[in-house]
Amino acid sequence: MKKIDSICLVDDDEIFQFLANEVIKSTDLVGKVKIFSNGSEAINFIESVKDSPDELPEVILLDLFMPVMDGWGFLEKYLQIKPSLKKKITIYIVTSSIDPQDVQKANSISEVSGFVIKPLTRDKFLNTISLI
Amino acid sequence: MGFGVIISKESFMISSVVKTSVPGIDKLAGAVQKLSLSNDIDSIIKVVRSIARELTGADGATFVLRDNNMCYYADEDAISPLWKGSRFPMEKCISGWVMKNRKPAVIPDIYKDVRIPQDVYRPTFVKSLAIVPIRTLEPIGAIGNYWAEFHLPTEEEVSLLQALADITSVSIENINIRNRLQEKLNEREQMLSQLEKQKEQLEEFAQIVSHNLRAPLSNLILLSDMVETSEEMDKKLRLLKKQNQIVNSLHNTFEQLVVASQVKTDFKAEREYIDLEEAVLNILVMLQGEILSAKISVSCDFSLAKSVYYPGKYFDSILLNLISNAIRYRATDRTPEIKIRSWKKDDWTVIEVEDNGLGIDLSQHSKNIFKLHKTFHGHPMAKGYGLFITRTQVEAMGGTINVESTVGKGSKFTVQLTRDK
Repeated sequence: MKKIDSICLVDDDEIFQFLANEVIKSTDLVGKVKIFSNGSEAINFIESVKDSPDELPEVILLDLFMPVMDGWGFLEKYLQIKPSLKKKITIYIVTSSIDPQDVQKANSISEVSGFVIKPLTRDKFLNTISLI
Repeated sequence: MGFGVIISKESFMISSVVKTSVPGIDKLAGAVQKLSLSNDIDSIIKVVRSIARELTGADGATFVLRDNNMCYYADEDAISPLWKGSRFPMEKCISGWVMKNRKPAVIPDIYKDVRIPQDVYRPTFVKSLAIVPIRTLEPIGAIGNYWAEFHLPTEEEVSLLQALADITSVSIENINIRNRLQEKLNEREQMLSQLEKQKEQLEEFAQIVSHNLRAPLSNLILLSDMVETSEEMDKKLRLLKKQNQIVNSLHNTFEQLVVASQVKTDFKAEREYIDLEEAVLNILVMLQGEILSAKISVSCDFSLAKSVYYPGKYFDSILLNLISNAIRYRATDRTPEIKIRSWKKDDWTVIEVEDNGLGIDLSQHSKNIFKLHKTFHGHPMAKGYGLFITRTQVEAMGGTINVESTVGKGSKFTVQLTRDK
């Protein structure tokens, strides 16, 4: 399977951050995992490295419900800065929501490549990145 | 029988069937039409007092209502003032006699009839009178006609008057029925809107339960999966240590949901008179540790509304939550200030908690701030729960809660507690 240089994990749940990090590392397919606790932190980082393709992540795993700026807020800002990014980023929503409205909304946003319902097990993660 | 004789009750029993008087019938028909358009007792009285006088060509007419054991002269139309606005005991008033005996009284000479209290009549123009009861079965009032000259009211005059009284009674009944129906209708509507609100809350609640429990549960599932598949003992141990954290957060979430669900069903909390200053002071004492250590300046002003009739435990919980939020979300770069004040707005008692803290970005959260939202992970005491419970309590008592806030400036929560009845 193709290796991934770096992944951004955007989720405010500390335990999920820890577990997802373990899962990702256990696959030996990912170089770097960067962790952010809300949409605002993630967008600030992306903006700060938008001109350096090496620093930009290949994949973003995005939670929906977060304080300060939630997943939807992140996507809104991301759409604005996307044209100036020097790298193609694939975004997956990773959430515990099973609300059909959320799934529908996610599907309507072309930048979202998939909707993963937690728990993010090793198999689910491998499945997801195999689609890239 | 003639003047000077006490008239027996029976001799003037007159049927209310109108015989022949074409102009009288016309006037009655006009009265029926006007009464059918009347929406309240006052407009009925207005119609009746003038028609009553016209109907018989009397010099004055009164509209009397029974008020327990008193005769209340509600209105009159006469050549000179009679007793409008006065109350007389039933047994000392001829209209009382009419209502008690459920039949008309016809008195050609008021000075010769023992039922007439002379002192009340002497200052007036009245020499003769005819009074009929409104509603014969259980009279609710009477209509009186008065003449300035000695006059023996004819059988026809009395029966016209009685017919008017009968129509009046039907009209009053109609209005009473309409009012009762309207009242029931209003009650139903209120119940319906409360039910709808509860249904909405329940749906919201079900959604939240599933979400807030799902997050830690999915972590637990993932964790046990990882414990099982990892081969190194060290790693297994490290993972197992995390388990406790998840179970605790699961437990917290569960407890909060239980609290929230209890609030919802407790719509019949008992009200009591609460002294605002005393109650708020008690809450501040509970929080004094935090207030002192954070050097918060708290000011209160309850001079415009000193007390409220409200369930004590709701009041305490609402204020405790708003004040602790103000403490928790204080700004660290300035002296934290909390201002609590109360006032009356229309019939409402309003209380307000204002701070100069961090503020809330309402453009992002305005719709959700009072909802039981999906709690942000790792913040077991996140304000989502508190404000949801506060809103539920406020609304259960028929009140409203609003927020104004500017990021970096502070927040102001305004609660309309309850309406004076």
